[in-house]
Amino acid sequence: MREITYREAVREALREEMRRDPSVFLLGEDIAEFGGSYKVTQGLLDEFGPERVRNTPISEAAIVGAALGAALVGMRPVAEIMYVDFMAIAMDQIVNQMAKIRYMFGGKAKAPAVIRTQGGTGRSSAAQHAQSLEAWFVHVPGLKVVQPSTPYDAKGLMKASIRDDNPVIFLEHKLLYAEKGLVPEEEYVIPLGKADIKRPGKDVTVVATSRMVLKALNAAKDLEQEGIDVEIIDPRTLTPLDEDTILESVKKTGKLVVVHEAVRRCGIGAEIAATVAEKAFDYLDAPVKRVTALDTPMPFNPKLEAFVTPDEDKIKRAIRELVG
Amino acid sequence: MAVSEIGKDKLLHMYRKMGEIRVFEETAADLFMKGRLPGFLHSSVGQEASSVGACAALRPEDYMTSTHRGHGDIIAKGATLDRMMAELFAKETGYCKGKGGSMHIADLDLGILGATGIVGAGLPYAVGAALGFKMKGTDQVVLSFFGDGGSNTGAFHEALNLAAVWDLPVIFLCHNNQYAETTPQRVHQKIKDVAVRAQAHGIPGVTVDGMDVLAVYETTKAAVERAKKGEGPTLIESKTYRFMGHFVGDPGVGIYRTREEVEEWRKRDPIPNFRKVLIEAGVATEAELNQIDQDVAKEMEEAIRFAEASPEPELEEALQDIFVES
Amino acid sequence: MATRIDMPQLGQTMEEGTILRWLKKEGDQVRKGEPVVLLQTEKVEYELEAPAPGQLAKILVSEGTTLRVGGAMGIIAQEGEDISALLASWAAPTPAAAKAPAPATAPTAVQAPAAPAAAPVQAAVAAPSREKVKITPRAKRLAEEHGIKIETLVGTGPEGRIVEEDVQRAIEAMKAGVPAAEAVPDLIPLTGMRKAIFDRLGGSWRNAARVTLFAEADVTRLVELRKERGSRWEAESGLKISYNDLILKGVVVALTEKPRINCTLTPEGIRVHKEVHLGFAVDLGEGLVAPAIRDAHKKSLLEIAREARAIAEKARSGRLVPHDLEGGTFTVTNLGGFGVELFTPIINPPQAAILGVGKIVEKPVVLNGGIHIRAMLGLSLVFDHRLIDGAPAAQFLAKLKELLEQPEGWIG
Repeated sequence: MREITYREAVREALREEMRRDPSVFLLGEDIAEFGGSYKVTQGLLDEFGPERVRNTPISEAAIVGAALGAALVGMRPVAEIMYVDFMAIAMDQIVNQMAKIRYMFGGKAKAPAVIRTQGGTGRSSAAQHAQSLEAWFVHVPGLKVVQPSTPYDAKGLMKASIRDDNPVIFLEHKLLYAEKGLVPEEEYVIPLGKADIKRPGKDVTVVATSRMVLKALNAAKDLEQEGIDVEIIDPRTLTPLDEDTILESVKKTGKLVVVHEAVRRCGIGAEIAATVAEKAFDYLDAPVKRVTALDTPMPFNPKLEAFVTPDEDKIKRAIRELVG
Repeated sequence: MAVSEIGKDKLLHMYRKMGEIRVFEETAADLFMKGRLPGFLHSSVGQEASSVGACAALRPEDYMTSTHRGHGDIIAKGATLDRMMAELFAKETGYCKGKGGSMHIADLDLGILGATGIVGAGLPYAVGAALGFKMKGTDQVVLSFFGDGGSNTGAFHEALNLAAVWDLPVIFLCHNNQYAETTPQRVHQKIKDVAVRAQAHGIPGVTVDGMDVLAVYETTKAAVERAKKGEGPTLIESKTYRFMGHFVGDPGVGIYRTREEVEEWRKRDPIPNFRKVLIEAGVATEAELNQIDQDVAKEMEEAIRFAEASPEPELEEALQDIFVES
Repeated sequence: MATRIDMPQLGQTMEEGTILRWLKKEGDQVRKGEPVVLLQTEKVEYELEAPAPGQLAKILVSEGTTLRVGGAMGIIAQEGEDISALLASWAAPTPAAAKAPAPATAPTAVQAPAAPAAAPVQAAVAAPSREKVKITPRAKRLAEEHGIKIETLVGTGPEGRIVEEDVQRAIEAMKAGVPAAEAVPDLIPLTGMRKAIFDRLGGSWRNAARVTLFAEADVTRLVELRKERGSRWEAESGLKISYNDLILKGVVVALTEKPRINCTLTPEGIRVHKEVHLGFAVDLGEGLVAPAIRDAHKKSLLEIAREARAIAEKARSGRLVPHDLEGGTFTVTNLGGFGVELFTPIINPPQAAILGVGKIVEKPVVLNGGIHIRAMLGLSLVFDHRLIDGAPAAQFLAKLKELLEQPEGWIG
């Protein structure tokens, strides 16, 4: 199987879906000629033209609103918000409009829009360009939330997101774009709401998201030398969350570490820990641990950035504390 | 535009719609004050000409969005009083199955893309719907109602700009009822005419007498034509007045506006004025218009009966419609 | 009106107590009689109930603090009530401190040299700690499924938590038919109950003029009688009457008939008791107590048996109250169950004597010129010669031997 980057995988999904369905179109800041800030949409203008690859003003609320309105009348827009941090500007359109419109209109409307964005610590991107805000969206009923960690998942999940009849927040990671992975050339779609066991193991369950899946895999490799067999689960979609896969794993291992790049307080880790406590309490053989960013804004200084961000060592330490 | 050019049916339709709105709003306010309706209520009494004149310029296939003060716009676009009232009663037969309420009535089949309770928030997605129509190659247009208050939001400017740069078939219709909730226009914006903000976005801006249904109709019709031709959006400012308070329960006089001011505007009540125009122009007789008034009253009574007799939604309904189930 | 929660006097000689855990938080509503604070005295843990209804307005003394009797621990007040006056009174010397007795007149003076902080009680030591066994939900579930008592497990997880692995080991051992490795901690700190045992028994050893008398009773008839009447007793009481029950009853009868050794050391002198409050040792795994069966001389065999079980169960579940541990006049300790035949136990002050009971062993005995196999029971009476002379001690033991050898008359 060929290897492509995460960036190429997202682009392939967009391209294939735009070819398959003329109602699919893209809009966002600098996505046309420039190919997007992280070059995901590079080359798509050439193939699909400015009608379907639309550069927008720097107007996040209008971008999301435009995607929502177009979706309401039958289009399948994929909007790019350059940084997840900028979602804050569009929050009303996302939270009060897009997420609620079907429900408050009594089920009459549907809004099959995808809002693509990217987050996570970069290389000193600092406080307004490096956040991991997935929990914001998970907290809003009516939004699906996708957070792929590999090129394979990114492609399959993007295709599923575009085909989904609901609003989907699709969260990429700026430091994953260059990561390579096996992606088949033939068509495939990964259903939303299905976790993936990235590494089977028996001693401890690690639920990790986005780039932390890679960190957890590295950590697991090291811990193998110490005789610790780590199972790594990537939920892939946070809403809907595949609770069954997580619970099954915890029932097997009795131990859970949740790893995410977002800050700890009310992060997705809290939700997963609570779910396990509610539904698999009697299977827990140790307190649940969370490995997350510290509850601080992201500092600019590289040393400080590394200090607040979770990494392999922090993951290993947490696992050893549980298993050792 | 001369009355004769519009045609009697349309004129009487407009008269009827204005009557429906007035009766509906007054009845709803009455029921609310008797404690019969849950939630809260924003009355649009006084703005009937603005709503009806604008929507009369739309075809059934055209879309509109509205606001928390949206009953009038929605009735003007074709919603019926029975299902409107059922929604206010939070009944299963309401337009939103009792899950939206007064502020969120929608019916996509009628081109009602819904009311939103967030001031200014309807504009961006109205622009999106216009984008969708444009891309699909239909000649449908979208009309987005908002108020003078909404014209101060970032969403307003983002939406106007985006619609302008993409020449989208959208009409931004501002009911300038002089108050952003309880704050008078002179306090909340430096400009006198919201329409001038069109200039900032390179699109036409028109101010029209919002108490004159025909003036609103004529202005909107021109904007619709322009949009259909692919010439882009228009901002229409319809100067009107909210006879009642910001919400039912707000006395509307005393604190932030005077009784004299309200009385002054009431003299320009769009319904008796339009009635006079129709009679003077020989379009309809007193008797014909009285008959319409009686029909509307009867429709209202039946709507209440319908709403009262309708069942409440099952509890299970709370869990439905969050997502489209695949 | 605001009410102080004071360190209570739990038993006659208690001088201080430790706050183990507040069961309510500041601001919590409490009903009168609802437990508010868990105390540890030298002898027991004690859940102190709220003296009045209201709100736990103020916690004055934090957990782990030791406080003299009468010292204020907290304040219960009505919501919004001004408690500044009470707070001021807390700053003043506590009543306990104020009434601290002068050594010469204090009733506790006699015990002071041996165990200054200890009370002159019948119990050797305090009741077991009721601290929650730390165990993971998974391990707990597994233990329950396999009927394994978690108290018997040693946790190897973080903070000594019992984890699945520990239960698995116990299950394996159970399957293999061997008892699980005995749970023994690496270090037992000399605190709490252990400290009390350390001080009190050391004091007893240093002070008492010990003499031990040995005797061997032929309990063949007692064994037969137990077989004959066992089912009747069981029908009447629902209990399987043990040899220990029979021996306890025998001791009570012997003490009634030979009461001189049924005495305790008091500040006034040696008090000889008409009532028999029969102490008996209960092993708690780590630590032991000797609660007393009150007024045993008024109780039948079955009553004694029933009460002994109830008290032992209370001791093992940590529910003993100070009253249970006080006032014993004589103690019996039985190691027969462990195969011990004879031993010399330590007197439990202020009592004057203790009886060690061994295992019943079948032995060849010369009887009427012939060798017979008889069931023999080893008895050892340890007494404090300062309080009791040799003759009355010997008379008691002889009486007991006689009673155990000819049980028909008293066994009931």
